Amino acid sequence: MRGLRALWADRAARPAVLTLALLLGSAVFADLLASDLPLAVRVDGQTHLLPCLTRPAALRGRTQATLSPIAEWMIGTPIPYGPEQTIATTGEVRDGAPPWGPDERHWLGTDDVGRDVFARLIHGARVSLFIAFFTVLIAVGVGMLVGGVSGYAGGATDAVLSRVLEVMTTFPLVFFLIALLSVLRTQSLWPLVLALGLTRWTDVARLVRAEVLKLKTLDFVLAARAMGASPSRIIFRHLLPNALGPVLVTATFGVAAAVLLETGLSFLGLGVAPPTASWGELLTQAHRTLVHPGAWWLAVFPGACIALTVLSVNALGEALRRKVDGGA
Amino acid sequence: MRRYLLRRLGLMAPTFLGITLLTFAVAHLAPGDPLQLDEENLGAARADVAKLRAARGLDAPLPVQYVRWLSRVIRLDFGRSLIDQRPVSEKLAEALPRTALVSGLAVLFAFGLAVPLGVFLATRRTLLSRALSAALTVVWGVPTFWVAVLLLLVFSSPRALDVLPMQGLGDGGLVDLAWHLVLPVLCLTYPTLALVTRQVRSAMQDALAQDFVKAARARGIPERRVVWRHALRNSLLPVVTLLGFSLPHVLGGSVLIERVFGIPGMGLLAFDSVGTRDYPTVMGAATVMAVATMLSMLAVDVAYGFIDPRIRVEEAS
Repeated sequence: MRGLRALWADRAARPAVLTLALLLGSAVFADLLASDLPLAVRVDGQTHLLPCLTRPAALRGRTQATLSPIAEWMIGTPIPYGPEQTIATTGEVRDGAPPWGPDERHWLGTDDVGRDVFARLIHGARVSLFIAFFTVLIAVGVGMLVGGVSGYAGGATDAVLSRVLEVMTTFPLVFFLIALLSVLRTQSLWPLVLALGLTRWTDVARLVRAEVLKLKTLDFVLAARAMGASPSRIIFRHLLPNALGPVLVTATFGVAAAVLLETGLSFLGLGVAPPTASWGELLTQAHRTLVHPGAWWLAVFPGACIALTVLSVNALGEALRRKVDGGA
Repeated sequence: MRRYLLRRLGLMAPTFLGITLLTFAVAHLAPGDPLQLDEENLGAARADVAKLRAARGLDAPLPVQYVRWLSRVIRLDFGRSLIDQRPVSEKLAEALPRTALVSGLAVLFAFGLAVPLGVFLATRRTLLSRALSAALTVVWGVPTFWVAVLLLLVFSSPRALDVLPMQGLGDGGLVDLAWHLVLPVLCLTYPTLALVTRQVRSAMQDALAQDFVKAARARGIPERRVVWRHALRNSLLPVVTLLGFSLPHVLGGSVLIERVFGIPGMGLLAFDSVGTRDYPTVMGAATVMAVATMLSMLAVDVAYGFIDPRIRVEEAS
């Protein structure tokens, strides 16, 4: 909390913090913002609260469009479409086939099967940010462990771990992921996050190793050792907490990189399986529908979303770096 | 210096082993083997498949297979492609120059432009330099293949400008080749350019604030010389480091770029081979790319040793 307030005090970081809060908010509350079912509805003598979350059996096959004429009352979601709702279920009839451009019904347009781009963006934020966050979490965990042990132990352990680090750095990441993900033959979320996390820890490890090398010569470590602290206690209780600042900065930049990586992998067909929306998947679709050269909204909005996220995260990283370097 | 070089070369051996082990492990994590695909698709008889498996050495235990594969790799023999039976080394030899050309140009442009641009941004505080700084920050966050798609929409779509070619590398003419390279190289250059420019700028700002610069100015050395000789020389070390670390990123990015622009380089080869479970080709491509990266990082390290005498002295002691 104190950290958040300190960040808020940094005026330069404020727009980034606001943007990220907005994006995180839409990701968390995606189901309340864009859904095929309403927030609350009274229909057939029954009141449903938050059917968009609970998805009651009584409303199966219904949408906000079909409910609104027959319901006694209804509170709809701001965007009355689910992310995977095609024209088959929105029941829209219009001149010409989709993709349709932005208008009062679909604020950001639809894709070539009539799915609402805004709804897909919001639900895609959830998938993309989830992947990015957990990728970095795993990467930081592995990186701190490897870097901490490598830096503190020195000698043969350090030599071996440094070679492993070099192999992971040298191996072109995208090649590795193409091979790994195609071998895993799965397109669900967790294997993807694991594969990404287990390949992206090298930056953190290198950084932590350098920090630990610096820290372990200091007196407080000597004092801890003199009091009989075990190596693992020294690493986990004394060294790693002191290296957290720079790690946090790197991790923040890592989130931005992971968002970009997810889009790239989606583009190569290695991301989450369609029809699940992720930002990368949306952009990939924009590329596929290059045959509709007029459909700029398919490319512009997801791209802008990604760019905005990466920019804000990087700005946040810069702000954190200022804090850490400033000795706060 | 010789000791430093020898030490660096010695350290490459375990790294090379690690790379090959990783490649092999990844390719063999797959359930079943390539022949299973034959079995499914061609309805080959089980006895035949077993015979083929034995003939290709696929029935040996994995460690044995690894050692056999490694000993062939060292002789640059990556086996034959499972798809068209051509030697993998031949396919790689066709693809590598294309990737090297595109990536090499991108790295060249990125670093060639980043140094003067970074110096400019560090020394001038004008509206233009501020706008440029902001623009560089923005472009860094934009996914390359998205930019590639937008550029294609604008420059290659028959409904828009239609001035630049969309796919491939042309039919062999030099002018045609250059024309085809404009968009891919541009897309591959700008993220590295943005990153390196920021590095040069902040390193220059740090250097210009130091006492030796003040001293140089006090001695009446012209400002140009202070900036371009005294300060810049002291700012270039982190840039050289960045050169080493940016190579894996550029090569990784080239996979996407090659796919968008249909350039038949290493990335596209690996990607297509993965789709067809052509493991010898995948393993060959991954190994070659990793070794190429390793060698270029070695070159950077050696350059580092030349530029900064402290490094080779420290390492030797």
